[in-house]
Amino acid sequence: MTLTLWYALTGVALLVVGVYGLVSRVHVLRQIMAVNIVGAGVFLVLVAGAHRRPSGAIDPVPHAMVLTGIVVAVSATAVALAFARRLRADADERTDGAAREDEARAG
Amino acid sequence: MTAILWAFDVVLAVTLVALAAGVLATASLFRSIVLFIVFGLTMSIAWARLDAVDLGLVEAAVGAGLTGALLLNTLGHMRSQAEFTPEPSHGPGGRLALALAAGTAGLAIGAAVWAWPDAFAGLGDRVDTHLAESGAQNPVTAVLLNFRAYDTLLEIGVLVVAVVAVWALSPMRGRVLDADPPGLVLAGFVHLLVPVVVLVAGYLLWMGTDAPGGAFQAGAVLAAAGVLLLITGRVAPPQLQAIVERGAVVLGLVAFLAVGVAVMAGGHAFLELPDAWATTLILLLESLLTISIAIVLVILFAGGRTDAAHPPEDAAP
Amino acid sequence: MNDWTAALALFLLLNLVAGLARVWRGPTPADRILAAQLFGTTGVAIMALLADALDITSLRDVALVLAALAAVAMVVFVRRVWTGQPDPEEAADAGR
Repeated sequence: MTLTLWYALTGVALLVVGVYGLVSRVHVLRQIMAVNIVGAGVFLVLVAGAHRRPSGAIDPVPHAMVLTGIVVAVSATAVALAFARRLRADADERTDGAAREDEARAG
Repeated sequence: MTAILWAFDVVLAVTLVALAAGVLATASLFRSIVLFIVFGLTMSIAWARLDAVDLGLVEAAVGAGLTGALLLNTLGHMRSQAEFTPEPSHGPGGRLALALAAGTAGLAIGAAVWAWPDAFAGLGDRVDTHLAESGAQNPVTAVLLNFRAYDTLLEIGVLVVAVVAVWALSPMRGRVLDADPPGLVLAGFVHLLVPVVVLVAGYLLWMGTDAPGGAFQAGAVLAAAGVLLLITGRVAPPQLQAIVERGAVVLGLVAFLAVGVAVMAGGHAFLELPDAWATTLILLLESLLTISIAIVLVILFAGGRTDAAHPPEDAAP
Repeated sequence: MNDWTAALALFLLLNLVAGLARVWRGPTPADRILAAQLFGTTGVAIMALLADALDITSLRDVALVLAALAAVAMVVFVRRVWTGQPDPEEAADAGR
């Protein structure tokens, strides 16, 4: 087994774990982490594949793509987290509103 | 030598997969996040093992630093607002079906990877041939800022869109501002650390044309310094109306477009850097990109606007 | 030299794996994040050793970045999460 194959298969394993976690877990924070793990798996497959040049050097194109990918992934994560916080804040607001209505009715 | 490195690879791969499984399996969200931070660190070791030093740098700053900071920040928000409720889960049958589906997809991709030819040059040879005219010695920088500059241009666009999205989702109700001053130890630590981090960012930026490093690595490192300043209350959260912050967010995108269009005056195609000017233009673009990337990441961490029209509601009873 | 540094890097990686037990068991959030903090230091050493073992000198820059930024997550934890209270989800994990 070559270095490329070993790390590419590790990437595939991460992808499987991440996809399973994404569909089987419910908490939004964990789903966001699952998407990041799927991303890490894909990146690992790409970069492992860039390690196959006969000269022994790396193919810089997949490296540049993955570098772009990591930065896009962190900004997408930040947007997803902003959505998560907003959803939680709105849900709390609804709960508070309902509680106040109950109080008003009781009083 | 080889046997030791093989053992290293085996331990590293098993650790990565175990960490990923741990992140998703544990019931405690906090434990999950800590494992995720360790996962990022371990990924940067994997990049080192695959000769991907540029990726190791950016992962060390983003994976092991910023993403963990983002997640912890959000967890802090959620904890302050709601009680913990146990996560509902699928029944055993549902979980088995999901595992089978994910496993089948994995087997299919694994088979495709298994069928890869052992030797494959990809685009590496073409990059090597034209590296001398790219204006950068580091092939990854050459690809990012010259050969595939379109990708990088669009990526900066994505970052600006992310800021707009995060700003649009705020202001937050019950938003916690860092009003309480940090303790003496933390304040002193940040006071010492921030100049060092800024120096490291400058070093990575300057080195980026010749060696691993560049705008993304430097920007991510600089953003970490910004996060430290923000979270200890040394700087105020970014303001929506502030022209300086809006300008800094779009600086990289505007400069990129301006350079792309300006070279057309010399008879070149859009974003085709003239050979004689390439090094200067790359360094200029990278410097401006570093500032934009850093401020964007800090704003994404701050997680929303705090404009005067919507003051934070902490003060409300 | 390469043999030695590769072996030492492997040893430190195994150390990291052993340290994961503390992340898993806790018991308090501070124990967990401190273990992660320790891994930051381990990561710096692993990078420095790999720089020699793999003959990639620029890996020392990765070690530098890791060293400079290892504390960011810790600072965010101290400022935003740590309340001195036990982890509210600890009880849910106790049964596992």
